[in-house]
Amino acid sequence: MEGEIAGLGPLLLTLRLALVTTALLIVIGTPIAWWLAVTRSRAKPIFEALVALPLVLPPTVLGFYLLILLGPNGALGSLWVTITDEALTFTFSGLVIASMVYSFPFVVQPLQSAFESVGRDLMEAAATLGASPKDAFFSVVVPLSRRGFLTAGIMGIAHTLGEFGVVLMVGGNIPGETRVISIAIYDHVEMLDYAAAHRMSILLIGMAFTAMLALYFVNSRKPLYE
Amino acid sequence: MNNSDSKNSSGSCHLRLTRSDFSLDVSFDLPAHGVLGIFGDSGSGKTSVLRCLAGLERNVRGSIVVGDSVWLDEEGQALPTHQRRVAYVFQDSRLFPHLNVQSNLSYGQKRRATAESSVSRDEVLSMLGISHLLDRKPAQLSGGEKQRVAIARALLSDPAVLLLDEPLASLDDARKQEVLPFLDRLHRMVRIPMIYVSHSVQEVQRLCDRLVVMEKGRKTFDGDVLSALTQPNASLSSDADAGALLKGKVVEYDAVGGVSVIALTEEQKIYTPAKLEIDAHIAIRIQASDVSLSLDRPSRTTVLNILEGQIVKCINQTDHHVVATIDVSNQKLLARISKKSWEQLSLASGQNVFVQIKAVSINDAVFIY
Repeated sequence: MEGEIAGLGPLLLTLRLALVTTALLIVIGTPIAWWLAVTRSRAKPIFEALVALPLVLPPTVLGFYLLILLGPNGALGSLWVTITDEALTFTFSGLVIASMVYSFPFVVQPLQSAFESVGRDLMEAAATLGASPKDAFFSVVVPLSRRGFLTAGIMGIAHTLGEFGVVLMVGGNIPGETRVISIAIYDHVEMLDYAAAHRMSILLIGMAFTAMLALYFVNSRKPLYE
Repeated sequence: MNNSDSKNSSGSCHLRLTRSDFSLDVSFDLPAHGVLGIFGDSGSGKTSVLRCLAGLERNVRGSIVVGDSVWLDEEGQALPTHQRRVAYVFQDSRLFPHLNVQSNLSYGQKRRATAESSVSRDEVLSMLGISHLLDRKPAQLSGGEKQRVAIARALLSDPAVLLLDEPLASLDDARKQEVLPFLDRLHRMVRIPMIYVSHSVQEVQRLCDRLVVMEKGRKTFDGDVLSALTQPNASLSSDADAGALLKGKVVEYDAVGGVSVIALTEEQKIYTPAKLEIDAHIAIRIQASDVSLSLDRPSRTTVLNILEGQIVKCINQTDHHVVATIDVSNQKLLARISKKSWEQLSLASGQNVFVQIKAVSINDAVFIY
């Protein structure tokens, strides 16, 4: 409708958003998941509940507070403006931050459970062989958690693909900037362009199915080490 | 082995650890060579001692000095585990499952071993009999093989002290017998001092030179193994595992019956179903539960081993059992007797008795020389 070829623009934007969001989440989520996996702190349930919150909150609630936080007068938004001279709302960067909040549990939880199943014992063994905690983490925990990383990556991407409410609240509908595929579908339906809505929806179904297939394929193979 | 000069110790430790249900407070000298055994029941704190030495426990107070380096001082400054030259063999081996044996072995070697490591890789491989396993993953190893690899991995990280935490406890008897000879060899061939935690009298007497006995987080004995084993009231004689050592000389081997004769004195002899070297001096541990007493010389009995002795002491062990200390030609033997038969025979200290020993297992032997 806006001169796009069969919704290619929203599709590429969506993919870019999903990949950038997931990559950043793995970087940020790994230390958080590790802390949650090994901490003896009594505050652990509080942090676990916070991590899980995006699972149950309506995207509109998340989006509403993100809009306030990321807005030019919000804490994060005004900081961003002073640093980059750009707003966070209704931009791709803002969308990335919002998606990271939205998909946070989908990345952190698989990592946490992978780290928990590796356990503390092998870290101790590594330490008695001269490995510093960081060394032991990368030489023992990471390779043993590679299914956890794969699961986290697939879940992060798949979940970000289907994002709608949060994007609508903080990103709006700017072609090439924030108009992701779910928004585009909504538009087409509003305009009664069912054919275009079908094309995009089926594409999204295909992508979602591929992601889930990959996920179950990764996790259905026999245990790595038994 | 036991030089009496100051070279006998490579350091010392004083460890204090307090938890809600347990407190540890022990100090002892670390061996310069040979194997120091730490013996005690579960809950006595022996594993905690090793974990404190390795820096795996938090909130440890006290001091640890090994050679020139201070691992822990009274101000609470603790060197992190990876900076201590310590290696640890865990009960459950803890091999890295994603690495093959080869890479497991080089994990510590890469990170810590110096040019003048005291053991060579080839030596360790052949000593522990694992050269043929290098390409396998830990999942493809038997329990005994895993522990041998774990021991090799620890040795190759060039530790100043090697800590072994019941390395045989997770193995069944057959596997234990498979690994024990390797530990024997380790003991003889490696100069790295070792601390060996165990609750098995058999392992301790076979492998250790010196023994620290622990009870409820405290040290109750510190000395050479033979005296720990012959001291009937050392806590080695707790519960059903109680026993004492009898020392003697192998005087005869009866090829027909397949038994060796060990003379305690001219008259007092015991028999064991094994071929032993004539003239070897030997100490055999006799389980208190294998010993029974009789007021008359037993005749027409299947028990071969009958000695004469005198009751010198008796303690109530449980509500139903007493443990009597018997003097047999100036050696001490323990007998675990039911209270009922004790009273029926009206046994008491000072009484002369005949001692019958049901089983003398050569597995419980220590060769003195």
